[in-house]
Amino acid sequence: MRKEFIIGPIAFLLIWALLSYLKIVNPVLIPSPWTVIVRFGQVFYRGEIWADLLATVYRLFFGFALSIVIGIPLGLILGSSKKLSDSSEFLIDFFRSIPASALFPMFLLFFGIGDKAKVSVVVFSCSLIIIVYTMYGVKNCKEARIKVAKVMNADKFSIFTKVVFPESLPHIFAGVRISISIALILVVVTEMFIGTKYGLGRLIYDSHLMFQISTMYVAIFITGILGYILNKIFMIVESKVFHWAGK
Amino acid sequence: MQSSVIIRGLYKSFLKDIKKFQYLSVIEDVSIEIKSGEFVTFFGPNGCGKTTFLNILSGLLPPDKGEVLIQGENPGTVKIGYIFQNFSETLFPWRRNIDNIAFPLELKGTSKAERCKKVIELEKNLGIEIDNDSYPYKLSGGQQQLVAIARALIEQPYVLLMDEPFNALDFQTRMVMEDKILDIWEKMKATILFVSHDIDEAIYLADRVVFFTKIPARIACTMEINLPRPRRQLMLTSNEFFGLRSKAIEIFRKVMER
Repeated sequence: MRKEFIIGPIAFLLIWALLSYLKIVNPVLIPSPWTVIVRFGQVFYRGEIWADLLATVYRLFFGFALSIVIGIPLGLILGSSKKLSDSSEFLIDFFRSIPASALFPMFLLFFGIGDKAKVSVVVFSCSLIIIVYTMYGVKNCKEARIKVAKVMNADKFSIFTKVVFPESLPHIFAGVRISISIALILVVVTEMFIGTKYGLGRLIYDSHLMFQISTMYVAIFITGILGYILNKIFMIVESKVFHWAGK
Repeated sequence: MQSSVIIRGLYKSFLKDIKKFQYLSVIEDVSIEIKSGEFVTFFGPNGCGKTTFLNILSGLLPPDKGEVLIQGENPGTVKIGYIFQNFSETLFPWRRNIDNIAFPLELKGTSKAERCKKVIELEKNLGIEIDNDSYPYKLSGGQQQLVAIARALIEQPYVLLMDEPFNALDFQTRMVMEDKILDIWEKMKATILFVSHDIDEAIYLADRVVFFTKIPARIACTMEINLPRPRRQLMLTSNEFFGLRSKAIEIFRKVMER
């Protein structure tokens, strides 16, 4: 990161402070940055936030991990065979076109209001994304590399483990990185609409209902920070591990 | 000297249109014997089936009819080195250069220490310098092709098949690589079958140039190249070379007229 990165946030805080100081917008809707920053410190200092943060992180990673466990093997299998990928293409595209939010009621019916319903929504959307990216990775392996391995008398298993799988890894990882962002969106939304006691989504929604506006902003910022950190971690891993991608 | 590669009555055609039951004949009645340690170039018009020819020799494609014997055995069971034109697409970018070269050994289950030793030994024998710990995409085109050549040679194959390997290189690198492959060929006493669509390259490298006809590929004629060895790029300006070149172009024109 260049050192100029700090200019944006400072400008943002200044404009925010100006808006609330000059009372251009109703101060109830936009409290001063100072109030929100103090509240931000408070929720951590008093330990109020941990239960919500951990609940969200737990659902996020549980759903995410399940999506990987389901998505990658399925994607590898479907991608390796032309018949399988052709026959599943329509179904996958169709299910991927269903907005996950449309499935909340269905998963509620199936699993009740517990964590299962929330995690299921995540798994439904994210495993489909990972399947698609994995299939794409497998299908787009360079024919020439497989040819070379064949000339070297490599058996099918070695071709898969030493050529096709490593070559599709950058695509798989791209799918995984996109899923973690989608998973966070879905967890927060499900927490708002599928009843729960803890969770950042629940905190945002409840503090809005109870007019604790600064708490609402704090929860929004924490969600944003969580998403940002996760995405950054994946980007860094991507550039370090898959430095060779597309070469 | 005994023949290293024997090709007898080779035919190959592809299904062009499954509904009309149309076939495209690509190779027709190709027979040739290549001596052990010989450098043979195959020259012909574009799209005449040269790549198909090498694919059959490497065992990637079965012939419709005819027989290929390499060192008395069928391709697919013998060790063959195959070098492609698009080298960057045949190297494994996720592997370091040393692991690219050692790939055939790894398939066999050779231990890591042994692989390392063999790669370094081979590089020394070939007189090539490659940054082993780096990755292929960080190398120049010529260096990448050297990695591919080293990888093909690590198992000491009976024959080395090369499909227009220097096409994607710039002029200067190409000259260097042509001399490099001649150097490697002499050091390893390899048998090389080299497909080219550059007549200068085909003559300069070869003991013998084989002319293919337009598709379907038949052998139009062969031409012995008696230029002295070791060859140097300067020979490309000699009268001897020009004589061979005009003869070759004459043959090629006849091939294209047919």
